[in-house]
Amino acid sequence: MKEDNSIQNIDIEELLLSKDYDSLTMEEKSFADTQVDSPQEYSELRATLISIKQVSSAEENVLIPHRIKEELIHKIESKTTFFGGIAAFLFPKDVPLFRKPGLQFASIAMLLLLVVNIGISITDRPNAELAINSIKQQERQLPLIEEEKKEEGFYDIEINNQEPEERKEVIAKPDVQKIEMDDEIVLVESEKVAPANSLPVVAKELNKKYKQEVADVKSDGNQAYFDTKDVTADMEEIAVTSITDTTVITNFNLSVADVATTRIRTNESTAVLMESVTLDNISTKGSKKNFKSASKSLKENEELIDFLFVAM
Amino acid sequence: MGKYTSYSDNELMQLVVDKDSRAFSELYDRYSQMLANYFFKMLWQDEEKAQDFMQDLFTKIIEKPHLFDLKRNFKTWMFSVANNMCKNEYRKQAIRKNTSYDMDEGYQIKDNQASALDSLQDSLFSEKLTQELELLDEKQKSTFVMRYFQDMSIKEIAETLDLSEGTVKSRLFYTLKKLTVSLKDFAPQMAKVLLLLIGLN
Repeated sequence: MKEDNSIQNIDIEELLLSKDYDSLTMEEKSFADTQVDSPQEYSELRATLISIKQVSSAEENVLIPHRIKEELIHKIESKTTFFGGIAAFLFPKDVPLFRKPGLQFASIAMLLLLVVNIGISITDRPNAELAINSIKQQERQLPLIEEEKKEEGFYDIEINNQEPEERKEVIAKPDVQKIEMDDEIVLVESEKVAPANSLPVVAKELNKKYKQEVADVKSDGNQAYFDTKDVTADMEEIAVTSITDTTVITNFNLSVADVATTRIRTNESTAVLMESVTLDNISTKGSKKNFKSASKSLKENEELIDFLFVAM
Repeated sequence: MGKYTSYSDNELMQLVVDKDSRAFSELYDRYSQMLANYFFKMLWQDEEKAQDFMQDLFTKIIEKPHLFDLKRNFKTWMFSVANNMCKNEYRKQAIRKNTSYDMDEGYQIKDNQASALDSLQDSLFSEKLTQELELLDEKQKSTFVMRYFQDMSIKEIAETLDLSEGTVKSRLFYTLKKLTVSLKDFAPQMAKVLLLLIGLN
């Protein structure tokens, strides 16, 4: 086989196209002889090459539809803007509707939304109940907080429109109770909070009852009435009423002291003074827990109450 | 539009990078026909396929213009992309040939006897040449088509195929020899006629 280097020096194609073998110069002929086996082969190659050139020049062009250019121009124009590019990507023109990525994305999103919604509605029921419970608990806790605030003070029930100072004087008379009552009264005066709605009713009833009793004593002149009357019964009545109304009478020691004071005064046969004895300083609380603590304080003061009764 | 005709390919391509549709249009006008013909020759004379491939190539230019190295010749770069597309298509067809029994009639290679009969019936040299081109090796074919059907210079072909000019020349010469053997029943006669005509002139 002939060397390739010789081809690079003289272009065989040019020779084949331009000259037949007989027309070649000596130098060209020597070069051609290195490429072909015979002059006949040179002639055949030349004929083929010329034929190919003829055919290629006569070759018809492939028809190109104008729509291709339009589509390409549209594509490049849509790329000029960011949103145009996105729109062109999501909704290409040359694709069937169901194959448009935008529509596919939208349908997937809808499906996901639907699945998620259904999933939430199915799986989130216990959570919803918990949520309701927590709300209820919050609602329950709100009054508790209010009550806790009130716990620090005592609701003072105004009966007979008496001034707290006057009551203080009245209550402060027994020496034994004085210290305790002073402590209590200080609290009462420092934090006066509006009384609970249910308690004034109870207090009024009791007050009325006592008034009636005092009036009876006055009219009958029966001083022994208070000697025989069981004051603790009244106390229990107040307590029971308070429990059923979910309000608790606290500060029982004070209440007892008040009642005891009343009894002391009765023993002194001072009917006028008795009129001024009221059931004030009854404090209320809204929780059983507090009631328990109140009961405890009542229990603690049981001995004192007994002592007072004995003294009377 | 007029000013764009005076721009070089690379200048236009630079504008295409900036999404200039008119620059793109000018490039399309310059090369669409050339590329369609190349694909037509390379892809078994399938006109529809040639159109699709040409469109795909220009779509690539739109979508990834940054892939073009502005230091390179646009024409050779474009034909190298086209050549790679053809290679991929050949691979696909090779797989199909191995897996499919019902090959497209147009892609079947006729035996020598059949071609001899054809040569008797059909004297058209171009048809025979087309058939013979299909038998060529992919490298020889692409070089030959670029040289004789796309009128590309040796240098351009060398750049496109990333070969030396000498290799391109030798490849072309040996392809010519091969075709001459296959087409000697037609080409010489036709060439003789042509040579006679030239001689008479």
